[in-house]
Amino acid sequence: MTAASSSPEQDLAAAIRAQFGNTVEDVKVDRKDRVSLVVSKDTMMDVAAWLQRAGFDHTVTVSGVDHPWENHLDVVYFLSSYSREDLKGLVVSLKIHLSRENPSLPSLTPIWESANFFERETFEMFGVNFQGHPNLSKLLLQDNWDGPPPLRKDFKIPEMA
Amino acid sequence: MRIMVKTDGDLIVEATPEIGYVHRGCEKIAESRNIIKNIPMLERPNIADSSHLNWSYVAPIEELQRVEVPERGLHIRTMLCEINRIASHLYGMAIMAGIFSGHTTMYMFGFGDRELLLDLHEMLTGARMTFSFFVPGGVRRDLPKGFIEKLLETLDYLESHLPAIDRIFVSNPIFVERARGVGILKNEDAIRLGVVGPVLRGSGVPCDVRKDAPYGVYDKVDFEVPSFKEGDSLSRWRVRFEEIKQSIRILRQLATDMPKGPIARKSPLVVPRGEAMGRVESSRGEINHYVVGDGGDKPYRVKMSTGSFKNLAALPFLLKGVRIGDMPIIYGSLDYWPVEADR
Amino acid sequence: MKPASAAQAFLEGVKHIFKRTFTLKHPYQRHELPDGYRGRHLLYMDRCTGCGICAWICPEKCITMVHVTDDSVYPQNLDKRFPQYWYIRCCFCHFCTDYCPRGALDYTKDYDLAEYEKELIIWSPERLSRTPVGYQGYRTRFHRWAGVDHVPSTEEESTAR
Repeated sequence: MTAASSSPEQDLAAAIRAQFGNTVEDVKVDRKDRVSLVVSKDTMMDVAAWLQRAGFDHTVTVSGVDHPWENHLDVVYFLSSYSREDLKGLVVSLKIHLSRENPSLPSLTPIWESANFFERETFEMFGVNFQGHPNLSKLLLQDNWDGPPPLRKDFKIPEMA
Repeated sequence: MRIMVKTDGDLIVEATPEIGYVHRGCEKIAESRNIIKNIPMLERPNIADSSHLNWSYVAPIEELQRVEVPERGLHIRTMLCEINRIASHLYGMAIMAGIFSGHTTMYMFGFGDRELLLDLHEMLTGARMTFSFFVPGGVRRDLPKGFIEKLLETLDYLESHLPAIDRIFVSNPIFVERARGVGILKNEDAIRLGVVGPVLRGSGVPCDVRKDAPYGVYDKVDFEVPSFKEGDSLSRWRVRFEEIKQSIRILRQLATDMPKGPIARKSPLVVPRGEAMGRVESSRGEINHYVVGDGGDKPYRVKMSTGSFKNLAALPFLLKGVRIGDMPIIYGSLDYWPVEADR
Repeated sequence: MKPASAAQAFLEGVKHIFKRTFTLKHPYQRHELPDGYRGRHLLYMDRCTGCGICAWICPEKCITMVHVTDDSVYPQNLDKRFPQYWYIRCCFCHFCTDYCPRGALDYTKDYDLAEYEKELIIWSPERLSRTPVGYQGYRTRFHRWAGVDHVPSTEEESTAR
């Protein structure tokens, strides 16, 4: 295209497209210091391992988003780096689309240990099963909670009336 | 929170934190209130340091709405956040050295000096602790008359009082014996566990969002990010102490050159379609708000990720193999705020 | 030297015996509140139009619009609907004061709002429009010695209902 892109987020987006091609969708650079991509359940471990080798050494946060009208549930991982100077301000977001019935995906705790408590919280709030997580138990809710996962859109609180 | 501890005599073999006692469902309630009504609720998880939670919530909304805060508004926001940071560090240091190690002197020093900063808050915003001062587009009020003079007086008093704290605590062998070499978190463990804030900087990793991804006017002021490489409780305490000095330095620079102009721009009462994340460095670590919008006036999803929740990973790791008598100091040095972690 | 630095710390504390304290003997001495302090609200009934924006913006839903039935004339407000505050829910954010399009609400320095009966914590519009009294001192024999400014006599009520 025009002159070579010199910003770290453009370079990273180009490297991801070059490495993974069609297996990742929607690699976007919306604004300065943010790269977002969508992966599928099968390729997420390879992408995560590649990103860890590229220098992203911890998760900033992990969140779930429920879209009942589009019939999918997303889990989004945000990653950043402490050790690499050029990647320090950059945040990469990794989104995975799951089905709303029995959503499950491989856990990224073996790669980034900082995702441990976040995945436990997403498990109890959205009902997502993380395969391979060392200790998937309730974190914030009480132990005898028997209702549906609270942060899904079909669980209504009185204030929403 | 509750810590379930398995001991072998005096040594801790395994420690498990159990949290969730103050979980109020802020993220769920935030989906049923419009963006302005969310502001007092989402800043209350950390009342001692509420302006950072407030900024981290309005920043992604402004990004989605494409509204730019004017220069004077950013200056006032940065000024209030730095005053709040000093007050919150005095609170954290008072609790760790004052309550958990039994020296009530530090508790009295910390809370007494904090009163002067709460007076500054009251003069600027009208409230002592939870201000609800930032709205999407700017701030709610301008600086009152006489604020800069009172701010400089308070900073002079604080600078004259900090050497006393230094003499009584940092140079005093009685406190140093309690805190040095206790709860060592090495460099690579800190990066692997993903801790943030003074816990990270006390282990030799000089990362701070104010320098790595500057927001507000932090790229125009001159300050340093203190870090110590020992990784024990004393170095985490000293990081907070040095950060107070750096905040005083930032405030002096901000007080002398305030730009003129409006303090806020108009912002519509909608969250446009899209998603954005705000990153702000509070006194306990990095705060992120991930906001997903759908075009209405209520946010579709708000995810809050606070410093205390991220530092929770360090607690079971640090408590393994230490004596029970060292547990209060380690817990105090992490500066854990339960409401912020549970939301 | 260890004993010397421990002694230095001790002397630092001893110095404070001879310093002046800045403790205020509340409730005999008061803390000067700045202008714009967020106390209870003051309603200007001749400016209020009964639009209800204050009730809509309140985060805690503590404002209800009620009809005032006495025979005063408020030309701006043909409905005679005014806000009524339930102070146990109010978080004193004063969004209502800032959002009122006519400036009918104002800040005051009254913060002593505790009551013995639960019904009295709901402030009617008429009570909200009374002049703020500021701080009320207590009547004991220490007043003159402690330097109290205003003390209500036993004949006048200290807080009129």
